[in-house]
Amino acid sequence: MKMRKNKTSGETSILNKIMWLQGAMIAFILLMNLLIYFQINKTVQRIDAVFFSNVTVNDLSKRLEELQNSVYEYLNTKSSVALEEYYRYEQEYREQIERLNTENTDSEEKMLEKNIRRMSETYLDKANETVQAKRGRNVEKYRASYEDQTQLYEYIESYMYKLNNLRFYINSDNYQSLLSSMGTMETLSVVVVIFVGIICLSVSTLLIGGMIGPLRRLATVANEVAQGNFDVEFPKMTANDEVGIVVKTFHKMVDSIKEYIEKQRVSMENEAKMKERELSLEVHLKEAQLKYLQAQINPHFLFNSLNAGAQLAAMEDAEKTGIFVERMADFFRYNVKKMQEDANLYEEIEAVDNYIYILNVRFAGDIHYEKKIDPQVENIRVPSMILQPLVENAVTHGIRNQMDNARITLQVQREEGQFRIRVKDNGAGMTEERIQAVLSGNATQTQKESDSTGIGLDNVMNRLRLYYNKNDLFDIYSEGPGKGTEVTILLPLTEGEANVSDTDS
Amino acid sequence: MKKTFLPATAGILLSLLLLSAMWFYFHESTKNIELQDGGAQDKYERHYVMIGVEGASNLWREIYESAAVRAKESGVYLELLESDATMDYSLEDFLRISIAAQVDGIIMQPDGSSQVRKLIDEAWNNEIPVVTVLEDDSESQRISFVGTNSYQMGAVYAEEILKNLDDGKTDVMVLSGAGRQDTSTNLTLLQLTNDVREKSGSQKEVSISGYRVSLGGNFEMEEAIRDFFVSGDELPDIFVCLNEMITEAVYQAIVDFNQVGNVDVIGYYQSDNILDAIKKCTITSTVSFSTSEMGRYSVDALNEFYSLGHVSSYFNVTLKTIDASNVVSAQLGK
Repeated sequence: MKMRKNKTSGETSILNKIMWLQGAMIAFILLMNLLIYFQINKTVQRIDAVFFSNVTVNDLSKRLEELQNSVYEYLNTKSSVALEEYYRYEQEYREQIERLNTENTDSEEKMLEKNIRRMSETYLDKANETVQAKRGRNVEKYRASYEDQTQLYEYIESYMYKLNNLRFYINSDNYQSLLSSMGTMETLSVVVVIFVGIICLSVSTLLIGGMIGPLRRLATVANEVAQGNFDVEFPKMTANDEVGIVVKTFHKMVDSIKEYIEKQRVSMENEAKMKERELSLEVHLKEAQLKYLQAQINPHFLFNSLNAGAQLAAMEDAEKTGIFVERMADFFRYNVKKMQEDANLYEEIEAVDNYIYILNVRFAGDIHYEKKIDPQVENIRVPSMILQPLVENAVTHGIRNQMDNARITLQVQREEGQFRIRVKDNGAGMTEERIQAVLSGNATQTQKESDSTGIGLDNVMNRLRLYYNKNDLFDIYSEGPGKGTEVTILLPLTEGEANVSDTDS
Repeated sequence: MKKTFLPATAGILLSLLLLSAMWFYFHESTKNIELQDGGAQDKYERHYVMIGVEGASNLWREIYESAAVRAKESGVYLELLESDATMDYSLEDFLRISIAAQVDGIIMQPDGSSQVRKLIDEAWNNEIPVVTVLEDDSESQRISFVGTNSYQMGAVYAEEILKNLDDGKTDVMVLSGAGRQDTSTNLTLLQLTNDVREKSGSQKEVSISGYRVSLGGNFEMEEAIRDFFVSGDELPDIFVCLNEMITEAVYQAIVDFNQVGNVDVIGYYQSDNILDAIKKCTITSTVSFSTSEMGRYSVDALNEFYSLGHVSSYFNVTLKTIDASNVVSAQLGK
């Protein structure tokens, strides 16, 4: 990883790429400038060289003039200075004409050079002759010789003039060509510079575009991810530069987030499943508890025993005991039989009657039980074991501690589409808080479960809610502690029941 | 990276291509300039000069052109020496220059002066052979003469004059260049006069007069000829011109002074102007010769001298007359 990181930052980083690009561009433009500069320099040198030939001829002409003057001076003065000068100039001039052409060629210029050289040689001979004649004091000879020499001097001068003119003419042509070439090169240079500039710009745009392009695409992708779409297509990256790393890292990050979300989802699902399981476990536990309780008594044995008890009481003429035992048997039979199924409302009322009878036997007939029953209750199906727990509750919490004047009223009243059942006691009464606590199912059981039939108010409330799929079917009313309690339940009629009941009435 | 590598390489290659194209173009356009400075030229074994004669430039140029072709063929550089804007020299000057320049041969037309003769001799003494053209100086040490025979020329002119004689008296004016003190003009004139006298017969009276027109550079020749027409003296019936320039001047004067048809002109040489005039019947006829032959012979004479050590002293160039009957073929032949 470390190595890769180094490699990325060392070889293909954006900085490196841009530096390479800039470097190449600068190098190229530098090279171009060097080439142009080189060409211009070469051209300027040529322009110099073009006129150099004129300068050479001028030098030659000047030297010849000096030579001619030195001979004239020597002839005039015969001074040794003039003679020295003559020899010096003669030497110099000879050296200079050595450089002139001697071959016969097509070039007029070269032929002029050749003529000048040959004439100069003749001239030098003649000049030498003149000087020798002067030294030998041969007056006539040196005069004649000087005259010839002067004539030659004029010829040579005019030839030099002609050569100079010709060269100037050619040089001017060359100069014009060079100038126009320079002009052309200027234009060409500008064109090439513009072209190279355009090329450089295009290449940099392409290269930098190539670097930035993935970033733009990454931004689009990031936007989509931000909107919640994790299944986006990532830009393909082959470059190992910074952008490449960012894109790859972002890719990894999105993948990680996706993975994390998936994990979360799975764990939440598991949790929900676990809760469900826990709940069902609880339900099963309750069921098991119930089953256990039920299993504690063998109902048939109990009922047979109770019947045996009743018969025994009849044989002994203990009528009251016989009735008591029989009603007890009825009560428990109903309890066992109806635990798992619906019941008729009148069966429920009977169960209450049996219960009250049993209690009155227990508590020596102190409970005044009063019932006001609507006659149309026969065929009304209700959940089983809903009335007896209410009455049991009224006894247990209402009137147990004041049995001497205890009163319980059961009222079953048909209303529009429903039955209203009231269980009213004149017992201990309830505070509002207690009522709310019971209604919300938060009330704590203060008595032992073993002392009751096992079904509490919250059980009744829940079963009513589940059975009718409706709330508000259960209500408790009390004017306060010591002022009695009234529990009301509403039993909605099914469509068939309502119709039957209506026609009956 | 690959995506960007391709255009980058293409860009660099394109730029390099542009640069090299520019370099190449510039190199090519300046290469010729160096050549003018003195590149490869044909080399020659020898160097001859031909000294042009002032006042006969067309004729001399034609002779020079054919001679130059011949010279080139035989490996000789032939230089034409003539006065121009930068050098205004006489024949003597050019001879001196040629001698001083130590050329390998001189082709020239002597003017018969002793000065020129001396210079021809001096050249010979300096081992420079001299060939005379058109006119000869037989007394000098020239190695050869290339030209027409003066007697023959006189006879041809005489023939042309005889063709144009009137029934009565005919005035013939012979115009020749005054700058030439040579004998050949005199010989021509003599032959012409004799022939005309002999062949004209006794019935026809012919008066022949000669006039030398100065051929100097001061336009005297043209003025002198115009004087004939302006002075009001009676014009001759026939003008005989022994010089190309004189012929053209006479022709122009005849046209200017509206004398076409009144005066016959027998010209010399066949310049374009002269041939044109013959076609228009302004000039009756002209006596001419082949300039190319003359040019060739003059170079040949020098070459022969170099290869054999001696050369024939006379190369005869044939004469021909051109009149209205053969002027078209003469023009085509040119």
